[in-house]
Amino acid sequence: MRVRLMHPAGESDPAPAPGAGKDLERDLGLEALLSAMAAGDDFVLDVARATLLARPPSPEVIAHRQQVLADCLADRDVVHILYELAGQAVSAERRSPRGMTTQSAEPLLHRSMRVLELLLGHLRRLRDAVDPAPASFRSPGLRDLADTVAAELDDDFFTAAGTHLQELRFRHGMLLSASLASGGYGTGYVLRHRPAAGWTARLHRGSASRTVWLGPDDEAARQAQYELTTIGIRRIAVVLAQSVDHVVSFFAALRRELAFYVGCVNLHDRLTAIGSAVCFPQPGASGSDVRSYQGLYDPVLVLGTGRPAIPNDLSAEGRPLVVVTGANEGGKSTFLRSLGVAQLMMQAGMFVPARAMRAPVATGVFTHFRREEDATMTRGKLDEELARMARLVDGMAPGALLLSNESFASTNEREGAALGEGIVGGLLDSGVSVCLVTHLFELADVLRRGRDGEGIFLRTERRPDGSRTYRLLPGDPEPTSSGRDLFDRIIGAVGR
Amino acid sequence: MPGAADVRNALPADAVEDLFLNRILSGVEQQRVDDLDAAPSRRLPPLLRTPAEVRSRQDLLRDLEAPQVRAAVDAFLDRMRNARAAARNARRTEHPLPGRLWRVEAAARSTRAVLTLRRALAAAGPESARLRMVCEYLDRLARSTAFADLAEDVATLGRALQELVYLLDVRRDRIRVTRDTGAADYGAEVTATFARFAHGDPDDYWLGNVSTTGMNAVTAAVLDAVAELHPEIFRAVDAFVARHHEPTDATLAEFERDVAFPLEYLAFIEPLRAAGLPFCYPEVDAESGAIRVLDAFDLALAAQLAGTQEHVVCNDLELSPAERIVVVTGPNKGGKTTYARAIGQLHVLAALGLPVPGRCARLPLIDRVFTLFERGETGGDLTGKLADGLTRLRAVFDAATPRSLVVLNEVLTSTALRDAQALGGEVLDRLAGVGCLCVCVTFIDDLASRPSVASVACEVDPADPGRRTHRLHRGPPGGMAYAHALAARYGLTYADLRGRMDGARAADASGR
Repeated sequence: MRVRLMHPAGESDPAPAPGAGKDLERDLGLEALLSAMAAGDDFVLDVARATLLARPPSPEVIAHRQQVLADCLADRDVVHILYELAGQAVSAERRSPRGMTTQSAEPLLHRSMRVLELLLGHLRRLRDAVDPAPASFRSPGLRDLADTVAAELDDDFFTAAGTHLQELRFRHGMLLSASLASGGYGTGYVLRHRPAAGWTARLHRGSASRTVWLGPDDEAARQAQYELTTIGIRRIAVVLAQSVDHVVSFFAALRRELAFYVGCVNLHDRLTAIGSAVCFPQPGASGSDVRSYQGLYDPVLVLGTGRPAIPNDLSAEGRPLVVVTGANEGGKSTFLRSLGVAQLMMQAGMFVPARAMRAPVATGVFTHFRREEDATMTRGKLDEELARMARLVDGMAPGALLLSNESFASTNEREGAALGEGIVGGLLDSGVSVCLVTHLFELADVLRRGRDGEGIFLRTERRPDGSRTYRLLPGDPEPTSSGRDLFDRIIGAVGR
Repeated sequence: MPGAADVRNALPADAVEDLFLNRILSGVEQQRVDDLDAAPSRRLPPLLRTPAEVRSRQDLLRDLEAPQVRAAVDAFLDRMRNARAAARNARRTEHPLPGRLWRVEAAARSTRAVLTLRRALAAAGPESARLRMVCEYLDRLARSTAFADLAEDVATLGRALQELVYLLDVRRDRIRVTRDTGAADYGAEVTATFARFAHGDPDDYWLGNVSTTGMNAVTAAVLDAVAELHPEIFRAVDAFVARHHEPTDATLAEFERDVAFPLEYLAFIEPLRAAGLPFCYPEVDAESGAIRVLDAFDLALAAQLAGTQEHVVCNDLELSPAERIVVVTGPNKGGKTTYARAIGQLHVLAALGLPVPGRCARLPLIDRVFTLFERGETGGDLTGKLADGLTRLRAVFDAATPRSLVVLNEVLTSTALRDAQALGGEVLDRLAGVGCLCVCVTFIDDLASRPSVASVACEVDPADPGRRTHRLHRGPPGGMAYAHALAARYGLTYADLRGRMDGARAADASGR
């Protein structure tokens, strides 16, 4: 019985993706996103973080998850019921700690029986919740769960399990088979199934027997009986304990996978409540080059302000380079973050903050953002930037996505442009997609002239009066950034 | 034929101690596997009497060094130990039926031991006369009717007992015993019920070892019940026990005794060999002839230093047939006593037919060893000590033969030097008269210059006379060179002292 909500074949958790780490989380502002998904549940928070930052799966797996998520959005109640159920099953097992019981047979057996009794109750509730399958279960993932539960947790199973729990109390004694070791000691004890009552009589009649009576005060008797029963239950104690472990790990997997969807539903509700659009994107194979967005926005900003944000469009077919220039505070960084967050969300199998989106799955998402503390812009900061970039490049493979925000601003424009051109060119030619925000005119210009066919150039929109619209439109880099506007606005004609 | 007294005195206790043979013995015995039936020897085996015996023992050891032979013999000894353990259990139990089953087990183990040894030795192909004899014996034994019957009976019975399965219905007030009914394995049923949840490797639970208290009245009664329910098998057990008495083969028991010490010795020297120390099988002569030993070393010291960074120093000894007295001189801690011990150990181990510590060796076969090592200050009067030493010397003169080895270490120290020179000379003359081999460690350098004495002295490094190399060479005594170097190191030579005194006197005079 495998839980296949996150992957059609029920694979175990993958490793973190290249580029994942504290820097990426901070640069994209993921904490706010994850909190919205968690809605106070720390377990959901951890699962959400791990999933968003995991090695990305194939487009087929992404589609599988989208279908499950669609079902969850259609019927939240079932999802919450199952999630709660799984959580209770896991807690029930934890409340009976293994502790010292794992060191001898009898305590281990009794602990396993107690826990199994509780877990059978939860398994019954699980079956009742998904059998018959709710009408909302359309996705292969959830249909598979319902089918598996109906097939495996049938009446025969519960009957058999219940019988075992009764038999293992050994109310009618214990039946052991044994062989002879040297000197006549018993060895190779195997617990045997005591046949039903009617059989016992037939057993008595059929074969001869001898009875050794055990006196109540007989020390030898007590000792022999104790040893026999302890040896007799050794193997069954281990078998039952392992069975309990298997059931627990099933519920743990169910809880983990449902937690992700619970988080997605929470986030969906928050965003739509604020009036922001979401959609299921179309993921392309890694390396394919169709990238287009309609109505893309930064969900972190929306969650922070509680108001819808100005969306943007981008169409970059066959163009792995996007360069954004223009006025300060014009929405460039926000745009870059929205690209990164949307990429991670798509790869996790979620909806994305847009009306429509098509993008290839990236082998890794990397951020190289200007550090806020770099106010002094001394030479030493350039070393830090380059070292950081080198570390990122170590983890990159063809198909990666690099989001660069004001890289190499810590040096003069000429040097920054030279460094940037070399690095961006090298990455592009190695099959890495680059989205670059910069106010270094020289860099944007040289890319415009040298990489024209590979790049999309966007500029922040400015109204005639100088105010910003926070929209990005196609446009060539302009030599001046709009510090002019700010100057005019603040200083104006004073002192002229 | 040497009498029991001779055998007893061939290696007197103080010789064993002085030559550190006790430490070697202890190291060898640590290789021994516990066997409650074998008497702990705590003593070296008796010295062999002829070169032929020595060569025969050496051949046996050469065979035992071959891995296949070694494995076969080790396995045999192991199985025989287990067989004796089973027989012991049979004697000790108070319940008749377990006793009989233990006897069946003992017979099974010993027949298996014999048959396996026969097969393994035949495959390994030993070359020594001793092992060839054992092979022939095993062949005859295996083919004998008595043994063949025993082996077949025990195999048949063993199979029947192994296949026996019985059922116990254990309740609070009784245990019902029946024959096997083929009831289902419950563990397998439970596993099957929950198999649908399984994936990946489950945790392993280790529940500790099962401790049972052995046969008591109840478990014995259960066994009796099993016997009653399987009358045909247990009748066969009774018949077996009645027909086959406990077999103890005298020849094989002697073989076990003969190989025990050599195997343990080989195990003892194995790590030293692996570390690069030389061992060889010496040539031994019945008559006194030339002696040639290269790269000998103190085996007890080497074992002690194993695993440390310290280097084991090897030394030579070469004597012409006429030279029987070796006088060893040198400074304190120069390696003289170690050298004397190494020579002593060499001769004893050679006379036991064992591989000896050294690169090559040609030695006489000694009949006895006498040692006189200085006992150290016991606080008694010097006269008493001298008398004691002379008494012990007298015993040596009485008993030593031309084939004996005498090792003297700093005897006659409890008398004035002039006396010691004279008495020492007398002692060496008397020993020369006996004709035995003698190694004499002494600080009396003059003794080394006596005619037909071989002088061996500690090596002196001319550049650093104070340094101890622990190497010894044939040559005249070093004389005062050592003492002078020692004094120089502390600024206490004659010249140094004169210089210091003159300076002090001058200072004193000027200060007045």
